[in-house]
Amino acid sequence: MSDERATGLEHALAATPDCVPVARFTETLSDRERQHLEICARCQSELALWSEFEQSHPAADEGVTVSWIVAELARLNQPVSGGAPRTPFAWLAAPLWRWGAAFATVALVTTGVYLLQDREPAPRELSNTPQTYRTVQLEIRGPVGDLTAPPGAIDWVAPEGAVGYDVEVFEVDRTPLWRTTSSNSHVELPAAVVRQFVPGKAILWEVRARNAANRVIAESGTQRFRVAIAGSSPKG
Amino acid sequence: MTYADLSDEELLAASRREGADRAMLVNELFARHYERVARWCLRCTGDRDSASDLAQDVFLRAHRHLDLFKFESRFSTWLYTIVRNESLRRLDRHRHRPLTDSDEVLAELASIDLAPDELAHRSQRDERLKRFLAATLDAVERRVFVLHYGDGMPLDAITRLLRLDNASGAKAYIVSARRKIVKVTSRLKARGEGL
Repeated sequence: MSDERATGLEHALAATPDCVPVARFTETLSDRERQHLEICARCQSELALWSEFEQSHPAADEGVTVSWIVAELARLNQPVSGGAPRTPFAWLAAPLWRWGAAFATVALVTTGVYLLQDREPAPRELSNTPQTYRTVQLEIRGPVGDLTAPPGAIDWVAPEGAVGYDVEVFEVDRTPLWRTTSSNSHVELPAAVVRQFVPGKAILWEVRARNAANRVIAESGTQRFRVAIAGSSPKG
Repeated sequence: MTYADLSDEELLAASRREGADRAMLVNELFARHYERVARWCLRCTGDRDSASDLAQDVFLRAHRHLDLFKFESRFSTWLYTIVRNESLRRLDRHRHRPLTDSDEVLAELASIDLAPDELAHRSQRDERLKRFLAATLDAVERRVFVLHYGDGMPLDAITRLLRLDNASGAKAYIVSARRKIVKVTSRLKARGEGL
């Protein structure tokens, strides 16, 4: 079946203006809404999903995993030690000047380290996890794991024969954030990309090395890092 | 009165008052819903890490849009729409369209490629399809059919989200739905009728 036809079926099964809004499920439905609900497969599906969200409890085999996720959500929002309790995701509500100051500080420190050592930032500055992570082929340096600050670059070890690299950065659902090519085993991340590394959000990246014949000779595999929220313990 | 005595909506209203400790009140509000969001995300994704990432993104989005909540629905319903949309947004990026088979029945259902003069009647045809499904399939089959073919939701996610506890989960309902559709459409064709 063609995609066009598939899209046609999706359209046919989509909500229409007559469909009952989810917000109405908690209210007494009008006669018209009840009649519509009786024949509309779309509304019936929405009602079933909403009911599961509102009413169900973890199944026996879900309990431990759900508890882990809940703990993870709470961990990301635990109070800063010695300070006032924070709100979940309160860092998002911080005034812009705080964000600006935070990024300016990171930029200043990175620049200072660069100038003092007259070399690219070492992997340790990018990650608190073991600095070398060997994948099937390409040896990468970072960033990986939970970090204390947004990374400014991606580093790996140049394999023999490589003349260029394809670098891609994604969100966890593989939505591309940034893509570039490089002839060095190091790329600086643009500020606009770094700004998207908000605390708590997992980011993925991949590097592929190419030889002079433009063939892929080494791959990093998918690497993952996340900037830890202040007050939580980074983990590798 | 403690925060625990306040409804979600009262808590949110309190957080918007001048001088309120908004951070703490929003913290309390979100924490009340961690479990149900975590549960949903686990059922949707099927694995712990993806579920955790999805749950975090849901609360990030909820926080970003919290000021848009107009008290026209329950807070949990508002949060549900975020969870649902965020889940489908992810599925949409990952999915392989389920309608890649050559099943003639589904092709017939999907044959919305109307002639130009019929386009004005497209909504009526969509309505007829919904009525056809309502008359042909049972309640669970309809739900599975809409979520799989309408939203592109994978069968394993549907099985978990609707908590279908039969041996083969949503797949059994899709097979059964298709069998019924074949039967009814064959009968219609034999009589020279359409959907």
